[in-house]
Amino acid sequence: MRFTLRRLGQALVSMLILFLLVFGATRLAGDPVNIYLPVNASQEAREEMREELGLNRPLPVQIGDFLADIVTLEFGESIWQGRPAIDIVLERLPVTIVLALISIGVAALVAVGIGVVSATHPGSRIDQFQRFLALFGASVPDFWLALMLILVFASMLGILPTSGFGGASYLILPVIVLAARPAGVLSQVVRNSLLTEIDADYAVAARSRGASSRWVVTRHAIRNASLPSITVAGDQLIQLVNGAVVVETVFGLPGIGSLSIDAIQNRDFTILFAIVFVVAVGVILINLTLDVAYMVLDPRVRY
Amino acid sequence: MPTRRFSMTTYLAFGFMLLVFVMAVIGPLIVPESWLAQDLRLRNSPPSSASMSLWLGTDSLGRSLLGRIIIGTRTTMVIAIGVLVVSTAFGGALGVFSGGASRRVDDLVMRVVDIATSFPALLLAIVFLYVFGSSQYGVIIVLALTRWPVFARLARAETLRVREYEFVKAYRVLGYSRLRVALEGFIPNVAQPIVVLAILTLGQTILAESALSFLGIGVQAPEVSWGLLVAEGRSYFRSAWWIIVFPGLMILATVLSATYLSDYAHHRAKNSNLTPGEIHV
Repeated sequence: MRFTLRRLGQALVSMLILFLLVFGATRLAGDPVNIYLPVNASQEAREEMREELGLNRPLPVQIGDFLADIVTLEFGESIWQGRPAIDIVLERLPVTIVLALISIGVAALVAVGIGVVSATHPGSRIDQFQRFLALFGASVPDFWLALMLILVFASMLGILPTSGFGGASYLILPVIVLAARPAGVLSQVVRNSLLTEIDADYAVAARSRGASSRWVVTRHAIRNASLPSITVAGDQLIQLVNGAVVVETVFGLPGIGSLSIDAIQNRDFTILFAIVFVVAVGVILINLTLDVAYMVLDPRVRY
Repeated sequence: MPTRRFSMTTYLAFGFMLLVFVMAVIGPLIVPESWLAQDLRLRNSPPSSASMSLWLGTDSLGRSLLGRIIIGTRTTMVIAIGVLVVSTAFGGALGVFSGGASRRVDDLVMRVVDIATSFPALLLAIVFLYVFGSSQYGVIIVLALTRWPVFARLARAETLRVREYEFVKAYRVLGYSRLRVALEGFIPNVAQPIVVLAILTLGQTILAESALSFLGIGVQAPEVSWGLLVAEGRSYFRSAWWIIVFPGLMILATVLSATYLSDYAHHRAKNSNLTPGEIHV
C-alpha cells in the first residue's frame, strides 16, 4: 500500500513535469496568443486572450494559474466548437478506449498462443511465423496497412465497410491494424521469456523428478514468464494511442486520436492539451493496474 | 537458440539499405526533369513497361511515380538520419553523464526519460509540431525529442555495467579525470548496443515521419516524402491503386530491412541491456 502511494506520488510528479514542458513550449515558440488563436483573429480577440493567459503578469503567477486550471479541469473553451474542451474530449474518449482494449485483447490472445507454441516447438512452422509476425508488426506503416485492407476487403471483395462507425463489422479492420504491432512484439516477449523459464534450474529439476514437460510449462513456467509479458503489454497498450491517431483518421472513427488531428487542422490548442491531460491520466491508471497485477501474479512482490 | 549466420536474408536487407542510401544521395541528380513535369494526358496512368518513367505508373498530375519515389528518398532519409544523429548524440551523452553522476542528478534525468518513454510518442510529436510548426527541420527536432530518452536509458544502463569493470576502476585509481574516464572507459564499451538501437531507430523514425506526413502535419508539399506520396494517392486509390501501393511498399521494405539488421546485430552482440521491450519506439 505504501509502495503504491509512493508510485502514485512519482506519477503525479511526472505529470507535473510533462505539463511544465508543454507550458514551456507554448511560451518559447513566439507569441503564445498565436498558439491559442487562429491567424486571422481580430486585434480585440488577441488582447482578450493576452488578458486571459495573463501574459503581462510575472511568470511564476502564470505557471500557478496554468496548473490551477488543470487541477480544476478548466482547460478553457474550445474556440473551434465554442464549448469546454474537456467535454469534447470526454465525449470522444469511449470510442478510443473500446478500440484500444479490444485490440490489446486480440493481440494478447494471438501472442500467447503463438508465443507458447514457438517456445515449446523451436524451429517449427509456428515459430517461423512468430518471427515473421514480430518483424512485420514492427515494420509495417499502420496507415498503409489500413488502406491496403480497405482496398482488399472493402473495395475489391466488398465484405467489410470502408469507414465510419456503426457496429461490430466497422471495428474488424481497425482492430487488425492496431493489433499487428503489439501482437508481434508480445509474441516475441512471450516466446523468449518462456524459453528462459523452460531452461531454468527449477524447471530442469522438476522434469528430472518425473514431471512432464507439459506440466512444467503450464504449471510453473507460464506463470513466471507472464511478468515480463505483462510489463510489455501495458507499454504496448499505452503506445496504442499512436496507432489510434492514424487508424481513427483513416477509418473515420470518432475517438480522441482523430480529434487530435481535427484540433490541429482547426488550430485549437485547448482541445489538444485536454487530450494530453486525459492520456496522461490513462498512462498513470495503466501503470497502477500493472503494479497490482504483479502483486497478484508474483507472491515475491509485496509492496 | 541456433546462431544466425550471415544468411541470404541478411545480404538482401543490407543490399536494400545500401540501395536506399545511394538513392538518397544521387536520386535527385539522376531523375530526368521530364519525369517530374505535370502532364495531364498521363494522369493516373497504370504501371506499364512502355517507358521507364511509367514502370510504377503516374500520379494524379501525370508525374512519374518511380521518379517521385526516388526523389522522396532523400527527404525521408535526411529526416531519419538527422533524428538519429541528434538523439544518439544527445541521449547517449546524457545517459553516460547520468550513469556517472550523483544519485540525485541521475534520478532527475531518469524521471524525465520515464515521462518521455511512457507517454505515447506520436501524440507528443503532434503537440510539439502544433507549437513549433511543421517543416523538414521541425519534424527532425520533434522526432528527436521523442527518441533521445530511449538512447539515454540504454547508455546509462550500459555505463552502470561498465563502471564496475576493473579497468575502469583502475583508471580512477590512476587519477584520470572524469571526462577522460567517460571518453576512454565508457564510450567505446557502450557503443555496440547503441549501434543496434540506432539501426532499429532509423527504421522506426522513417515510420514516424511517414505517418506524420501522411496525416498532413509532417513534410509539406512541394517537398516529396514517401508518406506524403501515400497521402496524395489516398483520394484516388480505388481506381489508381499503384499510387499508394508502391510508396507504401518502399516504406515497408526499408523499415523491414532496418528492423531485420538491428535484430541480426543484436543477436551478434553480447552483454547487452537491450530488451525486447525497447522495440516499441
